[in-house]
Amino acid sequence: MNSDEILSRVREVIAKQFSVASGTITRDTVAMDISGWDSVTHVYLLLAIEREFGARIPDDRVFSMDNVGDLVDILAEQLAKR
Amino acid sequence: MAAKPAIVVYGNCVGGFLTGHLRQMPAVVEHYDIYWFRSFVAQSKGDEPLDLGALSRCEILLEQVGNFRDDVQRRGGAHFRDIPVPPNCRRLRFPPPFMNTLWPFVASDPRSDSAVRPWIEEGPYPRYVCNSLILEIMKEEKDPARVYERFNAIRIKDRVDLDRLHALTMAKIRGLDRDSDVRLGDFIERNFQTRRLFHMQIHPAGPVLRYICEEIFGALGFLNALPEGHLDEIEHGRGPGAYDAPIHPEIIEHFGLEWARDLSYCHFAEGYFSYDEFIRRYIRFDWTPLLYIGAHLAARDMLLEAEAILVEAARRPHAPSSVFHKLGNVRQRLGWPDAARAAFVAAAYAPRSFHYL
Repeated sequence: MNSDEILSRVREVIAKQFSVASGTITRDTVAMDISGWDSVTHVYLLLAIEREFGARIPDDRVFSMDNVGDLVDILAEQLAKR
Repeated sequence: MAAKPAIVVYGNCVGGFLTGHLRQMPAVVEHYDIYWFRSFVAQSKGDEPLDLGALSRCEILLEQVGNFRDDVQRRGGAHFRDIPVPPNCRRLRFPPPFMNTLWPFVASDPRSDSAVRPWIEEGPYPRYVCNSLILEIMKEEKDPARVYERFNAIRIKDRVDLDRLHALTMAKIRGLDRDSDVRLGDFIERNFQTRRLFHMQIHPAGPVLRYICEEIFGALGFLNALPEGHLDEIEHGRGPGAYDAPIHPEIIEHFGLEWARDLSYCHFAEGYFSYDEFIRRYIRFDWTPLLYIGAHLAARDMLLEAEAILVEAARRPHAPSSVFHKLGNVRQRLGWPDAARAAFVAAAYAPRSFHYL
């Protein structure tokens, strides 16, 4: 799965999680851009992302991402290891 | 007379809680002015002017860490921590207490969002007490009884990895701990299975509040300034918030939460409900608007207006006993003991006998 495909699926998960249009989400999107995305709901989002991709985000990187692009890159690394 | 030095508390409702208790310490009030800068602002409340004078007199800053979206936006992108305080100011950082583990299905409910009014700023069902699984079912099923049946038939473990949710939650809590002088992770991990630590994700219960008070007031040397028995009152008190998020029985079983069996859950002024009652009421979107208006007016000391609204609420068919209780309370405050007694008696005969208000 390439980076664009991962981004596309990540956008769908975020859109569903926070009831926003997926078209508004880019690699540069940060939590503050999306209503309802805060430190509490971030945990739920990561859980949904892990479920969607069947991959686990390493504990030391769980909260070190600054934007959607970082999340996509971490997922790409994890998926490449499989 | 020169202004006193200031203690500034920056944070969410827990910051407000700490501020309230600092103001109850005569020895502290004698030496300091105490300010609370909220890290959030409810829609109808508007912003509070930032009192830079208070910051220039700040000797103790209690700062809640974390990124507060509302706060950063209303300050035009600047975080509170960027605002200067005197260099000799003592800064004590504490984390926002929260816990996701017990509530995996938080969701905004459009029914509640569209009911937001100045007298019910969070809507009758704030997102933390809503349930995405139920909302999903309701897209296909309109009959509340069927929605309830289908929800009950779901195996939670098929939908969410509860242990992973807990691991992620603790990772986040410990991450915030690393930015703080007061640490909550170990306390939460050690106690969450044996004590009720949270009423809902972001509203801590008494044991957490006591722990935070002990840590912060202890670090400041203020514990002796608290009135005797005060920490026990905090531990057994309600704490901030008037909504409880119900805990699914399968989650209670999974984590072995003995304290959560047969728990009743607060739904603002409506009363306390068992898990089943709460879920059924949520599916039906049960609430009593006039009760909220009456409570809102009473909280602002508009007692005659509140009484009139609550009388109207009480006349409605199937008015819940909480309406009569509230009416009785308002009449007591008005100095109408006979009318208050009549309302309390009526409460006993109303459809349910809630024990709140």
